[in-house]
Amino acid sequence: MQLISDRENSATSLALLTGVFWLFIGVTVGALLAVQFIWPDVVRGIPFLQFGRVRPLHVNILAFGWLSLLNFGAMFYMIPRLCRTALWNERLANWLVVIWNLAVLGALICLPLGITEGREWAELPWFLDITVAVGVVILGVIIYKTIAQRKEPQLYVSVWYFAASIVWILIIYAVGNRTFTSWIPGFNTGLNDGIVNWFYAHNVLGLWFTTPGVAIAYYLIPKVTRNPLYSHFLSILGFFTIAMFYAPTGTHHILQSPVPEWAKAISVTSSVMLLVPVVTVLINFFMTFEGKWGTIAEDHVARFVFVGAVMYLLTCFTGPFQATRAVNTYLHFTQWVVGHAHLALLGTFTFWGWSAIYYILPRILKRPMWSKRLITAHFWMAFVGFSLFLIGLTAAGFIQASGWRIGMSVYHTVIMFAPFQYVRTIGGVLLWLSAFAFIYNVYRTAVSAGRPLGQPAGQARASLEDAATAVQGS
Amino acid sequence: MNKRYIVGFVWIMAMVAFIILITVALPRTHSTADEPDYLADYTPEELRGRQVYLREGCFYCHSQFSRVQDWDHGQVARSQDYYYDRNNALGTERTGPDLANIGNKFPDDWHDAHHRDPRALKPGSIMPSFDYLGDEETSDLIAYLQSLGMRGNRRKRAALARGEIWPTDEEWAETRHEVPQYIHQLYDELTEDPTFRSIRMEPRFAVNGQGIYNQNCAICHGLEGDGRGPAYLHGAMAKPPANFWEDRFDGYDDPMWLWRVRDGIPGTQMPPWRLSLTDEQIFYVMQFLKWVAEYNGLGPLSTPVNP
Repeated sequence: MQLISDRENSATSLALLTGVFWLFIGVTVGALLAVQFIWPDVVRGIPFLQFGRVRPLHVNILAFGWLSLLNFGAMFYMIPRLCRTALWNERLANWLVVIWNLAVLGALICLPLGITEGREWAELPWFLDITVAVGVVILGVIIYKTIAQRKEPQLYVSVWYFAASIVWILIIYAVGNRTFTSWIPGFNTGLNDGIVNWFYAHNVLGLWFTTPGVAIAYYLIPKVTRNPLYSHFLSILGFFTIAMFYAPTGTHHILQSPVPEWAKAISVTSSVMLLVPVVTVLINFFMTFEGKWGTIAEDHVARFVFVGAVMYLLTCFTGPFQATRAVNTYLHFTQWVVGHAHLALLGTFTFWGWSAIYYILPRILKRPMWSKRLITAHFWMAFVGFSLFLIGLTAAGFIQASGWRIGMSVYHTVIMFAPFQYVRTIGGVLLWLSAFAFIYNVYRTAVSAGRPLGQPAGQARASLEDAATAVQGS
Repeated sequence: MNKRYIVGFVWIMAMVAFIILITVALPRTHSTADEPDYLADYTPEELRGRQVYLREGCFYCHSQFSRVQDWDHGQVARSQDYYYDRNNALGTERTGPDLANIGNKFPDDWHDAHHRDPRALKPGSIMPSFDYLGDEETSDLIAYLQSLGMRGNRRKRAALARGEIWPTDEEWAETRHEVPQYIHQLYDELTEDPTFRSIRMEPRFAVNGQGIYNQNCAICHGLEGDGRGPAYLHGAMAKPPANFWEDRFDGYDDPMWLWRVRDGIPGTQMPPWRLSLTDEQIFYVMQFLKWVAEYNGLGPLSTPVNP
C-alpha cells in the first residue's frame, strides 16, 4: 500500500502535507469564527456551525492537526539528521501519522455535532483521547529508538527539546483529560477541575508547542545563517529552566477565582521566572543571526524564522507581566488574552512551522518550491494580516478593560469594541488568503513532478548524510 | 547510552513529577471544599441544562466567577459555590456577561426570548441565536441558569429547607438600591472632618456646587437638572439621564447621593466621579443636587443670593 510506505522521509512528507491540510481547515474555521463576531446571525439555525461548537474545533484542529503533525514531521526529519542515523521504523512512523490524522478527523466530526467533554482545550471525547495518547506513546518509541541507535555521540539541544516534549505531553495529557483521571475522587469536581483544566491547557502550549517550536528554530537558525550556535551552555540552561518553570503556571488563568492563594503565588512566580528560559533562547537566536542579518532579506526560511522569533519575544515579554496580579486584575477576561494566545500559536509557532516546511519540503521532495513569488505573497499577507488581527484584539481588550474599570457593563463594551472586531476580521481574512497561497504552493510542489512522494532508499541516504554533515559542521 | 543523558532524563522527570504534585495534586487534598449548607444540589432538570450549557460552549464567552473588582456583579465567588459542579465552567473570557449570579435576575420568559433572538432584546449583542435547541432543552438550560448565584434557585431551596425566609422580587429590588456599608463608613468618616461637616444645603454651598455641576454634569443632566442636557437632546445617550425633578430624588439622603455620584451607575453612561472629583467637590455637588431636587429646578438660587 502506497500510504504506509517505508521509504526514507515518507513519514516526514506525509506528516507535513497532512499538517498543511489541517492548517487550511483550521484557518478556514477561524475565519468563520471571526465573521461571527461581526455578523452573529450569519450561520443562524445551523447548529454545527455555531460559535460555541466551532471554537473548540478551531483550537483542536490547529493544535492537534496542524501544530502536532508539524512537530511529528520536524522530529522525523531533524532527529535522524542530528543523530546521523535513519529513522527507526519508517513504516510505524507512517502508521502513526495515519492514526493521528484519524483522531483529528474524529475531532472534525465529533465537535460540531456537540460530542464534547466541555472543558476548554480538553474537549475531545474519550475514544479520541485514547487514540491521541496511544499516538504519543508510538511517537516516543520511534524517537527514543532512533536516538538510541545514533552514531553522533553529542546530542544537539533540539534533540533534548524534542525528546523531552514527548514525555511531557504524555504526562500532561494523562493528567489533564477527564478520560484518564475521572476515577480519582474529587479530581474533576468543583474548583479542582478548574486547576487541572488550566494545568493541562497551559502546558499543552508550553511543553508541546513551545519546546518543539524552539527546537525547530534551534535547528533552522544555524542552518540558514550558516553560523555556529552562539552558546550551547545558554541553550541547555534554557532547556532546564523551561522544564522547571513552565509546568506550574496554569493557575494564572483563574487568578481571581477562589483557588488557594499559595497555588496562585506559585503560578505567578513561575510565570515571571519564565523570563529566564525566554531570554536565554532569544539571546541565542539573535546572536546566532549576528553578522548574517542579510539572510532575512534574501532567504524566505530565514525571514519566517526571524519574524517568528520576534513574535516569540513579544509573546514572552507580555506573558509574564500579564500573569502578575496587578496586570491580570485589569486585563483578565478581555480580548487581549485572545490576542496573546494567537501571538504565541500563530505568530510564533506557525511562523516557525512555515519556515520548517519551506526548509524541509524542497529537501525531501528534491525539487524547489513551486513558486517563490507565492512564498513572498504568503509571507506578507500572513504578516500584515496577523498584525491587523493582533492590533484589533489588543485594542478591543483595552476597551473592555477600561470600560469595566469605570463600571460599564459587558454588554456596553461589546458594542464599543465592534469596530476593532472588523479590523480583526479583515486580518483574519488576510490570514486565510495567506494560508491558501501556502497550501496551493505546497500542493503544486508535491505534485509537480508527477511521481509518488518519497525517495528510493539509497538516494535519500546519500542526501541525508550530506545534510547531517552540514548541520554538524555548522 | 551515555550515562550523563540518563541522569539528565531522570532529573527532568523527577522535576516534572514534583511540579505536578504541587500544582495539581496538592490543591486537591488541601482545598476540597466542604459541602456548603447554603447551597442545594442540582435537580435532574438543572443538570440536563448544565450539559446543554457545556455542549453548546457557553463557557467560551461567559465566565462564572465574579471578582472583587467587578462592579455590581453580585457576590464574589467562594470555593464552596462549585461544590456540586462535576466539570468546571469557570471560563476565561467575558465576551458575554458573567453568569455567576444570573439566577432569578431575569424571568424565565426573558431568557426564553433572549435565547431565541438575542438581538430582539439586546440590540448590538453578538450572542448566537439558540433557536435550534428545541423547547425542552431551552427550558432545561433556563432552569440551570436560574439555579446559579446568590439569588438562584439552589440557594432558594437550601434556604427554604433550613426554614429561612426567601426575599420576594420587590425586596431584592430594594436591597439592590441599598447604600452599601462602605459608603456609610466613608460618609461617617468624612463628616467627622469639620471641612465636610460645614457643607450644608444652603444657597452659598449650593452655588459652589452649581459651578462644579455646570462643568461636569450639565452636559447630560441639563443646566436645571431636568435630565434634558445637550448630549441627551442630540441623541447621544443610550438611556435618558436622571431628571432630578422626579419625586424619587426627594427621598435621597446624603449617603445615597454620595454613593450615586461617587461610584456612578453601572450599565449607564454615568461615570464614577471619584476618579475625577475630590470628595469635597462631590460634597458641594451633592448640596446643589439636593437643592434642585427640593425646588424642582434652581428655585431661589436663580435669583442672585449673597453668600
